Amino acid sequence: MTEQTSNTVKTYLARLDAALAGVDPDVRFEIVSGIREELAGLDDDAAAARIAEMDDPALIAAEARAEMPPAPAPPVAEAAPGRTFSIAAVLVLIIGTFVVPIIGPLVGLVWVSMAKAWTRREKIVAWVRPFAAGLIVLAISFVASLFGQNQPTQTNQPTLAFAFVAQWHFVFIVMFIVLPIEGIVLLVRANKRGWRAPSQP
Amino acid sequence: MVADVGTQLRKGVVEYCVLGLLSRQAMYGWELSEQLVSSGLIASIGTLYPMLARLRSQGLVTAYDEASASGPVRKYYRLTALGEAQLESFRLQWAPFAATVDQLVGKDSGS
Repeated sequence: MTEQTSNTVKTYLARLDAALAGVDPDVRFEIVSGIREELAGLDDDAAAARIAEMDDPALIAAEARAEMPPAPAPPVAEAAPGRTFSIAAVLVLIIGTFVVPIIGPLVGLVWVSMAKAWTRREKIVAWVRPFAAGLIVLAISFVASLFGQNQPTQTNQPTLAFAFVAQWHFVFIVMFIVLPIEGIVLLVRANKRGWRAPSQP
Repeated sequence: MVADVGTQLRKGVVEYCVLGLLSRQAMYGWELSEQLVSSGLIASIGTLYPMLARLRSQGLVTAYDEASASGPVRKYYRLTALGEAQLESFRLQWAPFAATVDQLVGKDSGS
């Protein structure tokens, strides 16, 4: 049986289908098919008369939507546990280095160790790196001073005393550079992964 | 609580009314819709199909295509055995439930 679908029917079904956008695809198909069945085989005039008795596509779509189960609520972005504490720890590490030298970064490192935003390995590295940097600088200064001692000078004693003080100052300056940079690295890394330490084996 | 009482009541029973209609005979979507709209149980065919989809997914109703001599091939809906059992369970509970509600709500005594 070959059936010609009238333009009136085509238009109504197209409007209905468009109005049903967003409705469950199976239900959308069923509604359009059900109404198509009802209008099948009618000529333009008969179809127009039948459609006039039908509800507006927008109303049908609204009713269909009202019947659909509510869409599952988007997962609420759960705040990482201890996020505030982790941020505070890293800020104390960065700012504390300048505001309260020695104690500031020490507290910052202790807090970083207690925070949940970093892995155990990152925490160990956070402790070791500034000390390692200080030791390296101290070793380089010491070696340099040894070379200096071998140079015959008449004012050797004052130079040695100055070199000793300069070495320790240099170590502190390095600490002032290393600790804030370390804090910034920890901050950026934690921020990238939402202030959660990746799962550790 | 302020929500339209009629709407709430219809929502509670309309699926069982569909099961009741289909227990008498298999029906196609439009036919079902006409009956339910004229009874004031649904507003339009848009309400019916999501309901039919739910009933089918619960295994209470099944669908099949049937060609009619005069009209097009239509999708008919009929009850499954599970649907029959569900309807029977509803029937058993409905009468005492309605009687209880009637007794509790009672009639306005006017005093």
